[in-house]
Amino acid sequence: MEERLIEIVADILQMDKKDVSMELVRENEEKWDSLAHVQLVTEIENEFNCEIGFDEVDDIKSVKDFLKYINGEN
Amino acid sequence: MKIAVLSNINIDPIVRKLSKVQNIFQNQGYGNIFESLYNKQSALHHFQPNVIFFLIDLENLITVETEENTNPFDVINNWFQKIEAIMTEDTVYVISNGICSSDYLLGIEDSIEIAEIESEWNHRLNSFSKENNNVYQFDIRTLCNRLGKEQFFSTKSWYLGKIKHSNIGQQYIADNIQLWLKAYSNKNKKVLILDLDNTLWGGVVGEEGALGVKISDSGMGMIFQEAQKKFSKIKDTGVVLCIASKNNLEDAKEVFDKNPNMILKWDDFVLKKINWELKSQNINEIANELNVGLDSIVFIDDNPVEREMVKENLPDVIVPEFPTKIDAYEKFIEEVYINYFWKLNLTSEDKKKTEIYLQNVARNSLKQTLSFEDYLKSLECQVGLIEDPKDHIERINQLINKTNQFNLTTIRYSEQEIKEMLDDDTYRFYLFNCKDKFGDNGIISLVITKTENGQAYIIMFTMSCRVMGRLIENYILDYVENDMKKFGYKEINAKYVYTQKSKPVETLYENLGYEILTANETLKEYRLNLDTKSKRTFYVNGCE
Repeated sequence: MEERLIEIVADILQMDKKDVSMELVRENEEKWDSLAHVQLVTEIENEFNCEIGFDEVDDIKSVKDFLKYINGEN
Repeated sequence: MKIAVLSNINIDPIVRKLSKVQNIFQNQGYGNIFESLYNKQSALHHFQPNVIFFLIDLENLITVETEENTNPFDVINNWFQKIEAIMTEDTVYVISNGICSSDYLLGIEDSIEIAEIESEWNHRLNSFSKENNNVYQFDIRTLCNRLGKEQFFSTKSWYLGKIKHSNIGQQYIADNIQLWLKAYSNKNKKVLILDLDNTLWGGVVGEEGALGVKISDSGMGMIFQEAQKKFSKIKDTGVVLCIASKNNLEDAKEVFDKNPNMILKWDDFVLKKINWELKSQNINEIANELNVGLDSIVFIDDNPVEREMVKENLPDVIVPEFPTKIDAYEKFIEEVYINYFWKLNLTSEDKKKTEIYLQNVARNSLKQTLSFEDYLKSLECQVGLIEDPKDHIERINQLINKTNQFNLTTIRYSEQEIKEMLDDDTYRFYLFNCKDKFGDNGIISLVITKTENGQAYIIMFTMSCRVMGRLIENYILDYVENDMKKFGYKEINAKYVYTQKSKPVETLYENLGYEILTANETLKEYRLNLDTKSKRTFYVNGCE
């Protein structure tokens, strides 16, 4: 599942998979702009059948922050 | 082909999806459609797209541009005037039809209902696309209807990133743009082969009999009757229908002869392979007899074992998964049509295709009883040059872009390029029709010559595969050569460009006495002295 998450991130940010890790932080990555962020959120919701609340979207600062939604811990 | 997708809202995700498979213009922001089209310095202008898609969000257009003294109808009118002003002939414009994401537009005159705005846009678009042959409609409305507005749009991504379409909505649009481009470049299939039992009718004829199979105007029978209506419509768009079924021929034929509820008739199918042989073998024979590639064929069968065997043995044949619920059958057939056979324009050739192929089957059975020469003579073939090729641009387009086997150079030209060449008198278009005692074959061959610096070149020689093997090509080439001689040329140049599919004509020119100038694995260049060329064999009468 983490592998799939990384694939999606790499795909949307148009990065090489090996440059993407769970630790990748939004503010350090130029390609992770606000538009890419929306695409990430909707794509991940779709792929993992989870829901990220509207007011929580901005709290996601790194790749690993998606995990709790994917794992249904929220 | 270069494409651009423009919008007045954010459609970046759609562009991004398409950029993986298309040479697509990477938009800088959105909304400034007319500016970038107008401005000769813009990045869009430099990109020079061949096809521009306009995904216009009506709601956004209306709410942004309707000011105090204008009404939505003026905004729509204005939009079409602007697009008309910037249009150029060498670009194709594909404009989305009208759909509003919400059902109420607050703040706009209450009396004007959403439906009226949508229908005004569609009305304008309809006449606009009829008036301009480089304008097409993009049917976003049907996509939205299929999913429903709730699914097609996403309020969340709208508020987060001004992206109006949901993920799945974006995917639908991107997929459909792909399908549109496939239809535009004529890359669709030609032959639809159908099974009989539980595919053309319900039940098994061998057990239930000609009148016992389920085909009627109610219940289960209705599903198959509606399916036959759909197949019949597909046939009318120029798709050749055939049968591959494991049955006794007499049993199957009896259903066509005796069951009054059948929509499709025996002669709607060009070839009927009804026997106990392997389906893959029957499909192979159909491909050979019709002279089409296996990759031009779609095969529908309810039986998963049969499907699997065909897929295994003939991987080039398209074998769609049969619906698991039979009430989804009609929708499934529509999808097969859209995915594999959909055409943007129909020519008169398309409409009589079944008839033409049926005549061919009759010709072939004659061929088996006579010597080759007697057979050709007995056909009483007449080939004629078409006076004004400009009246047949659709057919020229097909001969250039859809002919794979009898195609000496396999150069593809867009409709726009064809039009330019027709207006350029260094090019000559020789377009031929052909009829014989079995009927009219329609327009079957195109030769294009180019003259330059006192030299004449044959740059295109294509012929429909349905008249191959009758030495008609000898007559056609003779005609062109004689014509060029009349224009004062002493020799004529030609070439063959190697492709996997055009192998049948690999040695055409040398067989007809052309001298090989250069030859390598991909290309052969030839020259023929028009004064000393030898007499050709053909059994064709010229006609006017």
